[in-house]
Parts: sequence; structure tokens; C-alpha cells
Amino acid sequence: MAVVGGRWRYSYFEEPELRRDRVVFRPIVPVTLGGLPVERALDGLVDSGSESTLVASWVADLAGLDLSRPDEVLRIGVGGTSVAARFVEVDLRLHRWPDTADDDYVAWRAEVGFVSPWRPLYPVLLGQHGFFDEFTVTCSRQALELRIEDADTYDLRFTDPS
Amino acid sequence: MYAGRFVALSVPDDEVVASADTPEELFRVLDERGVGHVTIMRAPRLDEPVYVGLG
Repeated sequence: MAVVGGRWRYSYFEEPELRRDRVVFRPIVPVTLGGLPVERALDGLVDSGSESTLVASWVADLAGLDLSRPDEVLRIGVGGTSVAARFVEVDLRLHRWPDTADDDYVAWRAEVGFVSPWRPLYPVLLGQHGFFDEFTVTCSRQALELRIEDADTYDLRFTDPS
Repeated sequence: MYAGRFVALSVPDDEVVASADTPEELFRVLDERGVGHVTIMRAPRLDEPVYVGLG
């Protein structure tokens, strides 16, 4: 279990282009994986609707990861078609930026799927397996903020006293 | 200007500090300039539909 030891706060990312005359805000957190340098994080979209944590396949080369012998290859549906996801177990790191130094992060190990071709703007999609099962994640569109806390925070918050 | 390109954004103000056509080229540029404390994404193309989910 990954332990953040507190409540890490992230402001929503504001996309540069207006859509339907309004700003698009995204819950984004900085993550690195494998051998990527900690001072150059990838934008990870916190995506509660994704069952898996998925990563653009080009990240594997930059992170020094070998995808030639994946644990599993699955075809996943994307917009009416499907693409191959090569699942391997990797070391992931969530960074506390922008409030703290580069080396302030929490690390965990999870199976993630590397996908090619990759369409999203953000190179990492943090899904139910590999992210939401490691933390308590709270998003507020009203506050335009995202809070990451330890996994057991949920039970402490919602335990029925009766 | 950056549409469709890979960009490195400064933290915390999200200003573009470098851009390139490929992630490999972007990392090379960042290495050459000694730039750190950035986050990486791809800027949307002007005609790109809004992303709603992948898997």
C-alpha cells in the first residue's frame, strides 16, 4: 500500500482551448515510472472510469522498460475500435509537486497496460487498478481541486458509528 | 503554436518551456538545456475532439 501520510492537494489543470465556450478542467497529478527522472514528471489523468492504469507505449522506451515479454496482452475498447495493451508490473511514483521538492514522492508497484497507438493528451491514465486501489481520491469540480490521501482514510471517514 | 506537439510545462505555472514533435526529441531538448521540474503532455490539435475516456 502506498502511504502519502497526509492530504496531498492538486489544483485542476486548465486546458488551453475552450470547448463549447467554456474551460475544460482536468484532474491531473504528476507521476513518473520506471527509470524516468523524478524532475520530469508525466501528466497523469485521474480517471475513475478506467478499470486499468494505462500508459502511452512511448513512455516505456524513455523509462527503460522492456515490453517484449509482457505479463499479459489484452485488447481494450477505444471509441468503437480496439487497441492492444501490454501489461507489465512497474514502479510508479506520485509526486507532491508543486508544493515540495522533486524527491518528495510516494512509490508503489502495480501492473499497468502500455498502449499503442495512444490518443489521449496525457501520457498516463490512472485507473481503478494501480491507483484508486492505492489511495483515497477525492475530486471537487466546485473547488477545482483533487486530494490524495492514504487508502484507509476512506474507512475512517465513512465508518458507520452504529 | 504548440498544437499537436509534445510540450514540457513548468511547475507550478503551467507555462510551456519546451516543445517537440516527439517525446524522445522533447526529452533530448530538456537534457540539452538541463531543464527539470516540468510535466509532460501533448498539446491538442485544433480539430481534436474532447477526450472522454479510454479503457
